[in-house]
Amino acid sequence: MVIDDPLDFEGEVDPLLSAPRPTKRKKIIGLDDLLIDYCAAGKDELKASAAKSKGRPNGYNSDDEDKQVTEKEINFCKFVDDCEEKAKALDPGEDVPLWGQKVFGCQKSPSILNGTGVENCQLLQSFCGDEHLGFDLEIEQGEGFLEGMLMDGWLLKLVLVYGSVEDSIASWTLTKSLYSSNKKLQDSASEFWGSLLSLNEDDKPLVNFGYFPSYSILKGAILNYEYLNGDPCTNARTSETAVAGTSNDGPPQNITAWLRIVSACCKIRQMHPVFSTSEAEDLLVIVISLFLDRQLEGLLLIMGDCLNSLGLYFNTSEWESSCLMVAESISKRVRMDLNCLRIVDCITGTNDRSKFLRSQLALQLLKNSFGLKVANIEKILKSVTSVNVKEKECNFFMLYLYLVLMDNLLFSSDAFRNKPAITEAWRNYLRNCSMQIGCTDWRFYASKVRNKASYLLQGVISKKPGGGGSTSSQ
Amino acid sequence: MAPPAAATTADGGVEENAMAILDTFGIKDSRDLHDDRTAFFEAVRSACLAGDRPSPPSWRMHNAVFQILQSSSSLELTIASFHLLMELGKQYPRVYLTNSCPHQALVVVKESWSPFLLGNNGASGEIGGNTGCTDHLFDPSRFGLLIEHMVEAANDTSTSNRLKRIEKMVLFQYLVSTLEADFVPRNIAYKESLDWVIIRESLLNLLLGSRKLVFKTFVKNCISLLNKHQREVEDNISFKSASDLDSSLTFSLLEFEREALLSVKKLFIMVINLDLIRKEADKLGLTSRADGSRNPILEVILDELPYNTINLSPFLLAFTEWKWKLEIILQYFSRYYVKPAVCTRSSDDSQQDLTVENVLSLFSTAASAKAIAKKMFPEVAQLLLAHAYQASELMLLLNF
Repeated sequence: MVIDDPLDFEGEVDPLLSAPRPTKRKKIIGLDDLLIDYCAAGKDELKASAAKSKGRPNGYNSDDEDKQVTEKEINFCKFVDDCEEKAKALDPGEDVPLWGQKVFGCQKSPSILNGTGVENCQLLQSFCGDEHLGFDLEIEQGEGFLEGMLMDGWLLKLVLVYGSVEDSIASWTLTKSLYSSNKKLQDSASEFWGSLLSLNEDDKPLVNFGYFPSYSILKGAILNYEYLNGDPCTNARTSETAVAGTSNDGPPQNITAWLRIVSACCKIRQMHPVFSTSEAEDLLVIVISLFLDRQLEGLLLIMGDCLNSLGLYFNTSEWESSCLMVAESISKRVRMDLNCLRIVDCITGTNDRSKFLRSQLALQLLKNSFGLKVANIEKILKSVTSVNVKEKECNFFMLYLYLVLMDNLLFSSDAFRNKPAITEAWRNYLRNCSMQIGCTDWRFYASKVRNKASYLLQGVISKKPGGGGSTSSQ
Repeated sequence: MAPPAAATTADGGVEENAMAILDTFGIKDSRDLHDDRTAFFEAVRSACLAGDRPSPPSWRMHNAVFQILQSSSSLELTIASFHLLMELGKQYPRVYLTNSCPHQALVVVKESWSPFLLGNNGASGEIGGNTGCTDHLFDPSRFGLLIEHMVEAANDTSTSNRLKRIEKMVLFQYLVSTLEADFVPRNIAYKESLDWVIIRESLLNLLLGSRKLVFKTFVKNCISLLNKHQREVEDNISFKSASDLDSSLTFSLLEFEREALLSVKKLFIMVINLDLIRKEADKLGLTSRADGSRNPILEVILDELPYNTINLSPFLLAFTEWKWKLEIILQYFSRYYVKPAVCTRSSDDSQQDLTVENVLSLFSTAASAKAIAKKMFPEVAQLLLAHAYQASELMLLLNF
């Protein structure tokens, strides 16, 4: 048959193709054999594993042994799965949520800002009367014309030349910066106010103006952005749910301008104290809580600047009591999880006021966490040090939080420098944590607690006046 | 401003302790890595900024923070490292002025860390001995590449690499602010002493004078960056796209674009000032051949703009420094002005004589207006005139 011929030909090819394969296999087997020989001859540790896999090299030659190998693979996978499950059982709640609390609710559509009557301002009217201008201004557009001037930076330049700014324009630009949804208009308006609120070398304003932003305007704006004013129990949601929410859930568009204006207001205190003490406290609480919103992560520097300006706004005599107020209020808002560490971290402690606020905040958080009525350092210390890391059900995650908070409480400010008994007790506890948790302790957060404790211990030793050598013997 | 000049860098114990946090031994997942890095920042902050006796960070610590900034692992770390670097720069300036003497004296802390790796910095030897790895630092060619990447990223509208984009912009902002912190006090000291060496050794001059940076391309990239951002601002891109799941990135992106734009402008103004000083020093015969011969930035801008007239309008809108804007416009006209012969650099004083009035008079007679219109698109001429008029009006106003 004609068709049979090519088949025969192919049949002839088959053995030719398969012929080289056995030789290749032999080479591989040869290597494995060498390994086994080597294991059997010398290395005791490898003996067992070598013995286990003895069947393997021959496995390439027959189907039965191939099956054996796959069976072993399956068994091994099962074993790994079992181990993983056991490991998971060892640390319950492996997923500590990332920091992030919802600070703003759903955004309403921005209110329409028409009919401000700004087109009747003197500035525009004076232009209308000027016949030497030499070109036509489209003043009939009124507000639109002013917006153009503001965005080009001309409004600011005119105001600087005039040396004063009328109230209607000042309030109009403030409204634009706090409420306009046009990004460029918003930026230009807040730049305009930034210049109005800056002082020259002689601590005098660059321009005369009688209209200032006020607490009620700023507070009104942040409430309009749906700032959640309450305690976390009622309206706290994690950032995940916030992100997954409706598209209206984004951060308020004008928050940057708001922050800039608040810090600018603080900087002109010498000239005009814009906020009363309690108003400044309230704003400080708001600004600190903004740090908890993951969506505002990118504004860290602007928020930090605002926080600093607000901190410096207070009189030295007011600061301690105001700090207490602010710390209490914040500690009620913040959940005792990574959020509380985030908030303590964000108060950078680069100046004395910030240091004090940091330690007060740590104190309040610990007080709330242990359900104490009065912030008593000894009681708090006792509660923290009563956590026994050797106990099976020890909550290492909470302990981790306590360690960081305690360190901030004790060492951020110098309130407790002169209480050697407290620092001594604290040092001993840190040493226990770093010594008693073994390197192989795979319980959840156990290794983090150990590392943190030994890191903090180093710090405590160096902070102790005249300390260092005496502790190294232990 | 009285930074602790003689402060010794963080002592070995503190450094070891902080660096140990970054040890990746036993790290299980990226979450642990993230936590460790955050803890490291906190350690650096407490040792160098917030502690009882803050001391400058060691090179290793500084390098580590800078490397994390470039690792783009998360927005949080990028911003936190940027914040920390800015604060460290403020607290421990490399160059500063002291008021103690009758004249302000310039102090340069040569041994302090810098994100730049510039040939005769004197510091390269130290890094070499320290880690041997300087890949993360910026030499002139890498600085040029950064701008190039930023331009590429700005043209890429996909949302996939936003974190990378933010990282580049933040990095650029940090580098420009480092250049500024170095240049501004030098500029002040120069004005008092007229000592060209002060400026010659500035990071900006070393960076841009290097052959490794193609200055023309660099300026071109900066211009297109300005234009790109300007167009975006004009379009008023809303940061609420409905399908956007990570609004934190989008929200931050806009803010950093704004800052990056400001940084480009800042850089341009600095270079223009550098060029002015250079010109002055040339006249006084203080420069030598070793100073190289980089073209002044205004010339490069003027070479670039006529070939891309589509860029002209956004550039003029974005470049808000009215004094230099007017200068650019006048020089632009002078290139098309028939009378003066091609000016060499040493005799270009004649060029500055062109004023707005001169330019306007060019258009007042039909003959000269035609001559210009032959060489220039009428739209371009109109645009330039409008901006020139604005700027000169403003100069008049402010001279009152």
